[in-house]
Amino acid sequence: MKRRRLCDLVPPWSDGKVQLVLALLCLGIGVLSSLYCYLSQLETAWGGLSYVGEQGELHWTAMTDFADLIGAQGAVSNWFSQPAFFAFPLLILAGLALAGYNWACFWRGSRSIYLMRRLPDRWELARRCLTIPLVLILGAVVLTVALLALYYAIYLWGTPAQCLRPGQLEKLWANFGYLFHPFYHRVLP
Amino acid sequence: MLELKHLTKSYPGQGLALEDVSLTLFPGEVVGLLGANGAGKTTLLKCILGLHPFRGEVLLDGVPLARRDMGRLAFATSEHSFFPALTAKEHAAFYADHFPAFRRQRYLALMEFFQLPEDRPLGKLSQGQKNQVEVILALSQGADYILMDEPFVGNDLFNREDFYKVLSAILEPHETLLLSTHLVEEVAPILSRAVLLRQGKVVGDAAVLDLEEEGKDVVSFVKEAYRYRADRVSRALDRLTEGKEEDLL
Repeated sequence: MKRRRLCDLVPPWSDGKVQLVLALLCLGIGVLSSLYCYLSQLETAWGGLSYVGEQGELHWTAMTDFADLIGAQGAVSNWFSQPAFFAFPLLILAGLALAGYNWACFWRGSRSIYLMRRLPDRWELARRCLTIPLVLILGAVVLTVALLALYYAIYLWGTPAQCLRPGQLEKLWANFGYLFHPFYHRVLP
Repeated sequence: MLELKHLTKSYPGQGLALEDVSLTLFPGEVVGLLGANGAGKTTLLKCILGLHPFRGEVLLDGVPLARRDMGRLAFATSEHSFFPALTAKEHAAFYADHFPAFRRQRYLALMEFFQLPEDRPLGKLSQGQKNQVEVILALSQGADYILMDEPFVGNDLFNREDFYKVLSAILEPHETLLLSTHLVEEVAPILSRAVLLRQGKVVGDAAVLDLEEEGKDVVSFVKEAYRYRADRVSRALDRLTEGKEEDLL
């Protein structure tokens, strides 16, 4: 199999290293902003878990549900209206836009698309248009899932057991279901 | 041998651009694909290259043309198929990378002959120079079949004549050139065969030697096939003049 260089994975006039570094930088900023937002919300929620009563006794309150903390209020899409996951759909959109831009550039100034489409390697055009956008899109998806798992682990680890409401995962899955709810609502009477 | 069998192409709402075109190109031929604007020349070339969907078959040495064999076909177009931001040198590297038969010596010789800058982005060259690089890359790809679509639009006459001389001198016996142009008189001396398209159909196909035996040349063959009426202009002028005279009276 032909060994590929980074410059073979972007349009011929682009600098592969620059595109990759920019994509990774965007993902990094997304992760940092997400961590900052989630940990701030978590700290606020943890801060209100206990209070001292009139006789000086310590009272515990119930912890905010994980699904609410990450913004899954009724639909998974709501996660992204919360700052913790706000960056990732934007990164997915940026990846789609970059793929479109890369492709459109083969039509600009000349019709280099003709050359790309008659190369013996049929995947050359797709490889050059889609690799970095896919890094961005898949990176955003994987990071969303990984951060979700990490946030849940932190949530369980840091919340006193007596404050945890039961059925956290069920509430999360229930919110997953909401994503498809309009579809079921239409199909099933 | 490149065979086109019953190629038919239609554009939505515009009817047939090509109608049942069948043609065989043999090694070593220099074929002029001639016809008026809109006759279907460009469409035919793009169909051969798989740039347009079509009905029919394109066979290379008897088997359907596959993507892996596309390196045996080169293409130069007046629309230009190079990357404007890259230099000629970078294009040579790109071609060498993707077309194993890339002919570096031919590329260097032609670049030198036409005194083209190797280190300037092609988008910054003049129109004539862009055409030259486009043609040089197609000729250097190492293809057996070189398809050219109006490659000299924007080049001056001297430049074009240089190219015709170069083309007739450098093509090797196994290289076939399919040259689409409307500069019939200019290209006639280098052609070995003329194919005429009219409204998407092949209306004439003749070897130049056969024409010469009949005492014809390519230009007269084209005019005959197109039913060109030599008195068309004088009759139109007469009518116009009569109109003016009547106005004056």
